[in-house]
This record gives sequence, C-alpha cells and structure tokens, in this order.
Amino acid sequence: MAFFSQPAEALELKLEDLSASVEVAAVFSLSLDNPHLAFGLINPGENKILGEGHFFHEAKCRSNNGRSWYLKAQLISLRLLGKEYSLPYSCLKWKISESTGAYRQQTGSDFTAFSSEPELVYTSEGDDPKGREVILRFQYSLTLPREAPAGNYVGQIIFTMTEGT
Amino acid sequence: MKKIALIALMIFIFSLSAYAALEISTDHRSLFFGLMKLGEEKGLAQLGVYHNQITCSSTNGNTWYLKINLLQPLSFAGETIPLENFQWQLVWTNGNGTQVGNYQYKPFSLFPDLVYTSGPGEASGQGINFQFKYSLKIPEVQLSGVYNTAIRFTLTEVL
Repeated sequence: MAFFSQPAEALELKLEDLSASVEVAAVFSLSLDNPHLAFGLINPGENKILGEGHFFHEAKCRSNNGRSWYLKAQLISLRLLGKEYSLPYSCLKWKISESTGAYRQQTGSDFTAFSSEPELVYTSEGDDPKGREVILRFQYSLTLPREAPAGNYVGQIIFTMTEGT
Repeated sequence: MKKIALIALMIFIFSLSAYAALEISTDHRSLFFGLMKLGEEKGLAQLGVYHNQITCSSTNGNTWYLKINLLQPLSFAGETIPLENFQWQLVWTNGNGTQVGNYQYKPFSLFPDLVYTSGPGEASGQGINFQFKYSLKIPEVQLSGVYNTAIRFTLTEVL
C-alpha cells in the first residue's frame, strides 16, 4: 500500500494553456511641416540660408515593415515670383542639420546641390524600419547668380519615401 | 480469494486516488487583441470587468497553488514584444486563500508566477473561480506582423 502514499500526490500538477495573439499594424508614412520655400528678396551674387542656425522644416518618416526605406528630394521649380524666370537647380542646396534616425553620417555635412534628378537624402538603418519615427530637419542655401535678376525667389520640392532605390 | 480481494481493494483505492486530484479548467477564452497600432495600449476585459475565468479544485487535502506564465514572449519572425508590455491582473476570486498582486496588473514572466495560494478547506473538491483581465502595450518601435504566444496556468501543490 505504500505506493499510494502522499509523496506521489505531492508532485501532482495540472496545466491549461490559452493562446494569445496581436496584429501590429503596418505603418508607412511621410509628413512635412512646411512645404513652401520662400527666400524673400535676394540680390545678384547674394546667398541666403533658410533655417540658418537650426532648421527650416522637418520631414517625419515612419515604417515598420522591416524593409529598408529611402527618402528622396526632387526640386521641381526654382523661380522668380511673378515672372517667367527660373534658376538652374544647382543654385539651391540642401543639408540635413538634425536627424533622429540611426543613420547620422549626413547630419551636419556640407550643403549638397540639387539637380534635375531626385536626390537620395536618407537611407534607413538600424531600428528605422521597425517603426522608429525618423525626423529629418533641413536647411537650404540659395546663391543667386550675378547675371540673375534680383527679386523674391520661391522653390518647390517633392519628397518621396520609397522602399526601392 | 484473499489475493483477489486485495487486488480489488487496491484497484478501488487507485480509482479513488485518481479522482482525488487537482483539476483546472478554463472557459477557453483565448486572448485576441486584434489589430493594434504602434504605441497603442489595449485592455482585454470583454465581459465587463474580466476576460476569462479559470476554475481550480483539489480533493487532495493539501495546500495548492495557481501560477501563471507565458511560454514565450509574443513573437513574430524572430521579433518579440517585451514581456513588461504584456500584463495580467486577477480581478476576482471566490476563494478565501491568499491572492498575490493585490488585484494590480503584473507583467508576465516566462517562469510561473504565483497567483493564488489555497485557503483552509479549499482542498475538498469545491471549484474555486478566478477571473482575469489583461493589458498589452505595443512599443513605439515594433515590426508589423501577427505576434503569437500561449499563456500557461499551472495548478500545483509545489510552491
């Protein structure tokens, strides 16, 4: 009868399992706080910087699908307000002055001139493709050629966030 | 004849022993948090104040313990949601024993956490009910996808 004693029962254990699940929603977003580049009155040979000392505007990028993403900027117009006169795209330069993203190499670097092609301005790294909000703050530099007329110059830039280079 | 009677008695006692056991059951309400955004927090208490109910009983006459744990963190494609973001809370029991956690949320652990220690007279067969609710917060940085895990309730006489 000893094999029915308490010690065997003391090891008794019962288990019940329940499943748990959650779907984490996908996000892929880009926003810009100020889309208008207005340099005000500028004279031939003069240089003006938008956002000097800090930044002019910021782009917020967010993706959590795990794939690398890229932010590109394309200048689509740079013209004298109220006139038909346009400047070469190379007169306008951009710079990332601050970034919250994992890739910081370009932050604080020199200005880069625009061209007629989209410029790659940021490549995601580290936790960026897992949903980290990447805030990129930009400055712009416009140098008016000596042969260009004085006036108020405005620019239009399109930012594109993409998963392909 | 004596031998047969002894064997019959042993079988009878064995049968009694088999019934004199720990039992645990659930209402089979799994934890389905659905679609959640980054940074979102959601509580599961779809029945008003609780989400699911666990029933424990024992006829062994010994003190018993209810424990809870996760078998793994909520996981998807090698990514996990931190354990501290997934919490449980005992909201009610009809038992007179000792509940742990003072009816507050506690983060899940991978090791069984003590929920309840049976009180006097709670090992004579009556069912003791436990009602739970749950909370999950999605981190601000988390890969999209369907994350799964399993919650284990353990009824044991070993602390």
